[in-house]
Amino acid sequence: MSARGSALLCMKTQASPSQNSGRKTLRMWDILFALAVIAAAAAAYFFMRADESGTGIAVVTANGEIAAEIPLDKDGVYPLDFADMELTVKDGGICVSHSDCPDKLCEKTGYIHGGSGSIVCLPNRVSVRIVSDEPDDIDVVLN
Amino acid sequence: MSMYRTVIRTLIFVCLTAVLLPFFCSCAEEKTSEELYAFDTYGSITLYGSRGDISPLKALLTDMSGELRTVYEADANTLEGEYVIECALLSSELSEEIGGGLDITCGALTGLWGISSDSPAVPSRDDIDEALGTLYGGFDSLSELPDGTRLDLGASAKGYACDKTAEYLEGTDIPCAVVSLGSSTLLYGEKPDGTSFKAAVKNPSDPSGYLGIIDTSAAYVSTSGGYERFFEQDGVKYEHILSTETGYPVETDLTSVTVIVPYGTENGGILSDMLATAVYSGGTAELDRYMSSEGYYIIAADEDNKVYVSEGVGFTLYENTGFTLAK
Repeated sequence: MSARGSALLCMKTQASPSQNSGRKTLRMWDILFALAVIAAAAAAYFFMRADESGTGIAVVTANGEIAAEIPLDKDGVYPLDFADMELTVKDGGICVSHSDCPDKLCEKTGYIHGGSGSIVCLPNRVSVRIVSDEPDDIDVVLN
Repeated sequence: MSMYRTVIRTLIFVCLTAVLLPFFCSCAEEKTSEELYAFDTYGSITLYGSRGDISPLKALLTDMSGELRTVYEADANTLEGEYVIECALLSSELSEEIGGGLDITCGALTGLWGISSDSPAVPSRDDIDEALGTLYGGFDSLSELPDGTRLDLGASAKGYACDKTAEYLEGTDIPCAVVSLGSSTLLYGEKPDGTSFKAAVKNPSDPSGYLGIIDTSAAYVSTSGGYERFFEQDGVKYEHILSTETGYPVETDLTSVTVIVPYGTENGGILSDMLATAVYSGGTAELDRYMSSEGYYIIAADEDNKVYVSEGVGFTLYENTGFTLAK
């Protein structure tokens, strides 16, 4: 962006000694440039917003270490290779659809969506959490 | 002409600033977060407004967790280790202060049920009676405990670890941190943006959603509820908090209890942890006594979907949870 900016400023210096018609061209270029910058700002703003609030990613951890990341924009079934568990993604939410653990608490939790907690399977030491959809204003979820 | 150029330059500057500002803002609100597995649960460490290194704190908590878990493997009178001894003696002292049937010498009983283990099962009446015989109550040193008596620090270890974490953080230049050890959480310092801490309480009827949000300054927060750890046998649900009178899981009409102890309270972490268990076990019958006590705040939900909130605590109940505020 700064390279484009300096090129235009250069043009401006060249154009400055010219008369009326040149001045009009200059003004038009300046206005166009200003509009381009505003458009870029708007685009950057929406791009960053989309990045923050778009469909999330589920982070799966095993023993506290990140073991897998699953995008939630596409429905699918994901068997885990580090635990006898299977996750299912549907409509932007994710659930544990199978687990070999005795209490099945993780299966009972059902689907989680952005900002609504996490799934934990204590016997398998696996947790599933949606990251990018977590509302910004919550600092911690009490378990 | 030159004024015209100045206007254009100003405009360009303003536009560029508008583009770049969000990047600078996100730097100022910098926070670093890491998950950890300790105290048989998932936790997390978040440092705010600092490039502080998380690893020493992580190592401290993993260490503590490893040492404190030795209480489940041996008789209490053989235990060693600074953390174990300090946590055990503090727990014993606070059990007597809080009342409510707390007895940390119930290790043999909880081991027998094995509710947090891979293969929990309802024990025989004889085995339960034998385990109840090893209960000792309050003590002044581990060596005075008889053979066969074991400790259970399930209602105090995480809170104790929050106290130790606060002690550690005060010796660093980390201005703000949230350390969650599952059922106990430390909210430390003041957030760089000046806003209060927001802690979400899980909905006991639907643990994938929230009951509401607590708004607080620095504090120790602990939660207790039957929905977190339990098992089913022959269609009966057995929760993980056991009664030292019956030897069976406590019967309570509360489904979730959260206790908030303001930061600066001596042993505030372990206090919040033990109180959460005591208040939960006592049910609505004992709730008034705790709610009217000073020095801590309570948010409790019961089976009739009523929510009790201490005066002076910032709590927003979410809509469409099916719960209503009592009184």
